[in-house]
Amino acid sequence: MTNRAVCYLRSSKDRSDVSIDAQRRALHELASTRNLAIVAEYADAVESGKDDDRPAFQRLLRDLKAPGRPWEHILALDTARIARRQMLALIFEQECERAGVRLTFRAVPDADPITMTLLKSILRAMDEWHSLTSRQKGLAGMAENVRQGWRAGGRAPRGYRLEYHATGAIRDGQPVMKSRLVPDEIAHQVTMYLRARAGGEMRGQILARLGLDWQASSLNGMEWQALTYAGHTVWNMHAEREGGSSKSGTKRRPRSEWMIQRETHEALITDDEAEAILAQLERQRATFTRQDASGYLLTGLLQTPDGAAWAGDSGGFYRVAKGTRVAAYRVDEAVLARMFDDLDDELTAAKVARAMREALAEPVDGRTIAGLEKRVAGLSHQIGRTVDLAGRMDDPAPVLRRVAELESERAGVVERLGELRRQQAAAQEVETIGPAEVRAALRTLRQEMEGAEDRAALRPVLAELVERIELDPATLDCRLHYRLTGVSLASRRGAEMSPVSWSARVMVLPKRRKGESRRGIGIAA
Amino acid sequence: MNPALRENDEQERRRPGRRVRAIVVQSVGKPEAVSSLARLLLARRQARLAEVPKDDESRSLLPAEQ
Repeated sequence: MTNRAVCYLRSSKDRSDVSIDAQRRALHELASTRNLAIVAEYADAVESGKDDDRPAFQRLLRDLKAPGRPWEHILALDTARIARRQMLALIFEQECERAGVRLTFRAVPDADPITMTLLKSILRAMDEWHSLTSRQKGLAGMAENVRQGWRAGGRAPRGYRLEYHATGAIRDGQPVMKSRLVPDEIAHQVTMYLRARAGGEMRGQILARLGLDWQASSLNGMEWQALTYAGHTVWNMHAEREGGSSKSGTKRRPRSEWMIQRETHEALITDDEAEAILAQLERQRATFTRQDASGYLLTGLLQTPDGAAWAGDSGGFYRVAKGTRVAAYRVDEAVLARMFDDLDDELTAAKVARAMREALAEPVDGRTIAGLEKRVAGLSHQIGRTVDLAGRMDDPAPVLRRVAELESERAGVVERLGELRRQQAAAQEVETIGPAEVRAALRTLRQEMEGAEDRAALRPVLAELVERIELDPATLDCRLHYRLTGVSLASRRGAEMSPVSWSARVMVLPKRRKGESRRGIGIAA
Repeated sequence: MNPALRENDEQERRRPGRRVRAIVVQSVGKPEAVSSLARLLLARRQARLAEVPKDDESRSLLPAEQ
């Protein structure tokens, strides 16, 4: 056996957990006393030990089994670093034995093999007990927090920020802080968006009308928090998860199981508006199918010359009146071909390039980045010094907690720094975009969208760009009417545009009978 | 549209004796309101930029040649 070793480090969100830096220092000390050379380290920061779904742990497992592995020792602070579940810890230890790797814990004293086995079993049982009881206590604490009107944890929803209050209690020498939601500077935009949604307006249309650049994928989750936006704290909403997916198969529990503490913070919308949004989401969930997600790109825009709306049916057709229908893909592809042809023009491309520059946030100030870099360096220095101090103390626990706080602050600053650097890179890159690049990007988009199953990304684009599309059911003559300038408020469509309505319409349509397909096509074609 | 349904529809339209009318689209006006399109193109560019592998905090302390 060689003297080459690797360390495995893990710290969780738990404030009393040992920080990564402190673990690293302890393991380097252990290595020097055992005459081992540390050649690599595997670190899982802020990962729970209750399962094995941790990136560095998974890599360690892979490397452990890899042929030609250049090390034969694994060092960890204690058994809880490997896993808080007894079964996982045992399996890992077995894997080590099979691979001829020696697993050494800093916190387990040397003893004869029989005593070691007993000690390790006791430690593992205690680890599991700790994990289970702390989860139970955590849940009870969260429930009590909600009852008292405090936030149960998690980030503030869009439109709010967290305001921290000292409760007056002291824990481990530190004041206990709890948070409440207070409206932030974009709260009024959130109110306008949610009110429009409660009124049945389509998401893409509202974003275009209000000039918001929120990610479309963030809107569903935001709307499910309607009761939070009505000023109430909701808890126990999400179903329990296991292995990356919900145990029950649905993301959210039934409404009857939600814990709701009323009037805990300032409301952005009324109860009635919140209920209208939730009712729409529930209906949408009840009727949502793959077909809804992939098809009917033009619902809400497509109408007859008389102004009657074409609606998507359950079989991939746009339908108007009885029996008149046309395959949705034929209309979608013809309209998209026309639209992309119209966009492929030097002047339009220049307009798009300008809009892309305007769509970017304010340019990032280089001094802000330099300031954050300095802050990271300062925090790293402070962490190093605090760890040194802990090493000289008999009871280093309070100082190590301070290290954990500093590490958490540093992680936040590093994250913000990364975000600003990405913004800066994006801004620099967009500066170079001209009409030629836009036309190339549009051609790529067109290629990707031709024959694609899911064209949802084009929905907001069409909602803003196009006023209406007239399709004559008798002749199939189609006229694509562009909006003249921007999006006017007067052009807002009513409930017939909302996905909820067209889903509901799908439900009331009679089922297709044998032979109906030919008749439908016959009339349309 | 479901690919199978689409295939059925295309076969139906290719049947001998079947009169198939193409959908011809004419445009009225020009594309003006392009800010959503700009945001979509921007998001696609940024998504490509973000495809750089992330540092997951684990690093090898071995010299490069090992």
